[in-house]
Order: sequence, then structure tokens, then C-alpha cells
Amino acid sequence: MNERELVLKEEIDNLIITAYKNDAEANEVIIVLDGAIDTYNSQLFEKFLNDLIKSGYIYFSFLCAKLNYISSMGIGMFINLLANLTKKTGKITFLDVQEKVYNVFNNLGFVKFFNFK
Amino acid sequence: MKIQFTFYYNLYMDEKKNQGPPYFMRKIFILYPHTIIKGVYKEIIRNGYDAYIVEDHKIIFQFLKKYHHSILYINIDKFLTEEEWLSFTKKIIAHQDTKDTHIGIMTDARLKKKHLLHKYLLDVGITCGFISLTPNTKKILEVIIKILNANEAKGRRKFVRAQCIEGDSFNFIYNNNTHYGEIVDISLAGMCCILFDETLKLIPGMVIENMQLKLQGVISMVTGEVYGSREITEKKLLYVIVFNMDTIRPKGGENIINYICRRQEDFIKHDLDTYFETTTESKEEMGIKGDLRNKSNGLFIQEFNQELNVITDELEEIDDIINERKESI
Repeated sequence: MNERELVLKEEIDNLIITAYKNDAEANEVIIVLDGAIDTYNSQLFEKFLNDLIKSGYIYFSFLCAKLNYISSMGIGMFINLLANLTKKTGKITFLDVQEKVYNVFNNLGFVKFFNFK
Repeated sequence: MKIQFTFYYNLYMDEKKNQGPPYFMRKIFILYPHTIIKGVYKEIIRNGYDAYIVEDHKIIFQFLKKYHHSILYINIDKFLTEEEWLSFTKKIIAHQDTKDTHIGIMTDARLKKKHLLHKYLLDVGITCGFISLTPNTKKILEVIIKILNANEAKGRRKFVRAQCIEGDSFNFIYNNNTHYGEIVDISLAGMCCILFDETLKLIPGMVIENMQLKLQGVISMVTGEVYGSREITEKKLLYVIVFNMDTIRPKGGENIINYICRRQEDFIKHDLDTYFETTTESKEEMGIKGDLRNKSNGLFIQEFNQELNVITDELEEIDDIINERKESI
């Protein structure tokens, strides 16, 4: 991971976002999430993601092993991102999602719109 | 000094309000709740969520306009057609005064409305989910609590607090004398109250055993500890008493919870009456009493067929159970 090109590192409230460029796929960004996505930080987080779209990334892979909470606002933010990326034939993939976080997606009915691995 | 404090306090609170929830407890309005939800409503309140049942979609706008960042759950199986509910939801999201409302959809899983999931979640853009209700009360409550937690509905306050009404009182024995007081507001965790005897002073940390609470004539018993007080007039003090949860009788604070649920209902009625006092619109204009008459035959038939489908499913399930039992015998 360390050898990959770092494209973003931000800490907002209780969320640390680290984004790397995927060497194998030019338009893919791998984003490591650490902490929680809630009402307070979801807007700023969305702004960072939109900046990445502007930079040309359309494949977003989120490594969520350390993401321990997501609010409905956070999921709403991912839905907005999905809407933007769909127009550009992009894709969102969530990897290593904790069960409690996956359950939030599932309980709210959003699970079928994203790829979980 | 007091003015300066008030100024800074107001600034501080404005800042917190601007941040929106989760600092403050969000109001949760459940429109036309399904029977399953009505069955778990009391438990939602017990879990500390400020939930209200609303049985008329025409009045909901008034609440959403008044209470920003509220959560609205709509049971789309009742009253309006699929298209009407969709446009109703879009209208709330598009309106300047209600656009910060967080909307969720509830539907009976047996009515098979999954085809609307995509429309609501992606096209309309609701954030509080599309929930298919199954007739398992325990599971539904568990899911609802998790969902409300994800909606950050509780804020930092852990319990729903109800404003009390005239006649809500308490008494306790201290130094062989019975003392009486008025309850100002109450939650499962404690109460704010005023003593009638102004000469008696309660000290923080003081334990008051076997207090008798009388809420709309219904009695509860509890032991509490004085948490603190503040002056409301020159002689009167407003006390905060924290309950020892293990000592509440009847067990689980059933009477207190029932009282809070009743007060939630009263809150809706009161708010609405106040609205009609200050507006030129009449209840009839809003269609509050005329909904049933306004329903089209087509809508009645649609609802009737839906109910019939549910009953048929249930009968089939019962048949299956009977057959299984017969086989095992």
C-alpha cells in the first residue's frame, strides 16, 4: 500500500480518509476509511469525493475495515456519489465492511445499489 | 453579568442549532403507522426516541415546517396511491421550508412493493431507508431502533421528556411529614419539580425514598436522588430529581411510559390547535375531517384488495402450520 501514490489524506472530525491511486487501473482510487461517517463530517467528505471525481477518478473502492459507524446521512452521501459516477459509467465498491455497518445499509434498503466484497 | 451570560449562551445555542442534529433530539413523525409499528411505539419511546404518531398527511407539513431536521416515516400502504405518495414525498423534499426533513418509507413486506425501492432511494433521494415490515414484533423493534440510531435521531439526550400538566404531582414522607409538590416535566430517568412547601429545601445528593408520583391520576412509586436545583422565583426552586430505575413501580416504569405516550399525542393535538388559532385555514379546509369522504372508490378497492392479499397470505401460512403439525402427529 505504501508504494502506491497517495492522492488524498484528510482528517475530518472523527474520520480519517486516505486515498491512493490504483497503479493497475488509471481511473481507480482506493480510499481507506477509518472512524465514523455521520451528520457532521459527511458533507465535507462528499466534497473531497467530488474533488476526486473532478480529478478524473470514476472507480471508487472503499476499504472499510476500520469504518465503525455510518449514519443515514453518510449513506445518502454515497447515493449522491453513485448518481454522479453512474453518469460517467463509474462504480463504487466497498471492501471488508464490518457487519454492523453492512447492517445499516441492509436495514435501510440500500444494499442492492452497491458492490460489497 | 446575567445579560452577558444570556448573550453568549444564545450565541452558543444558535451555533449548535445551526449545526443541526445530532446535538438536539430529532422529532420523529410516523405517518399512518402500520399496526406493527403501533405495537412497538411504546418501546420506541422507552428507548429514548421522540416519536409521534400522525394520522393525517395533510397536516404533516405544519410539523415539518416548524421542527426542522425532523425524521418522517411514511406508511405508503395507506390512503394515497403509489404515485400520490411519490409526489407527496418529492413535494416535501422540494419545498424550501421542509427540505431538511429526513424521509423514510415503510411498507408491509407482504404487499410486495420492492419495485418502489429504486424510485424512493435513488430517484427521490430519501435517506432514512425503505423498510419492509414483517409481522415479527421483536425483530421489527430491533431493526427500527438500529435504523433510528443510524438516523442519529436521539441526539445527546437519552430519554424522552414530557411536559406535565396541572394536577401532575408527587409526594413523599420526610421527617414524619408528608410533603407535596408539582411535577414540571418527567422522563424515565427523572423529573423536574417544585415543592409546595417553600420552607423545605432539598440538598443535592439527598435520597428521597418511596416518592409517590401522580400522573393524570395514575400512581407510580420511585426512589430518587436530588441532582440539583435552580431558582425560578425569589422563593421557589426548581429541583431535578434522578430516579433509581430499579425502584420504579410498576416495574419498568410502565405508568410513566404510558403517560409520556399520552403526552406525545397531546403535543400533536395542541400544536395543531395552536396552528389553527394563528392561521386563516380551517380544519375543514385542510381536509382533516373529510379524508374518508374524499377517498375515491378506486382507492377504496385498491386498499381493500391489499388487505385481502395480506389476509390470504396469513391464511396460507396458518394452513402450512396446521399441515406441518398434522404431519408431525
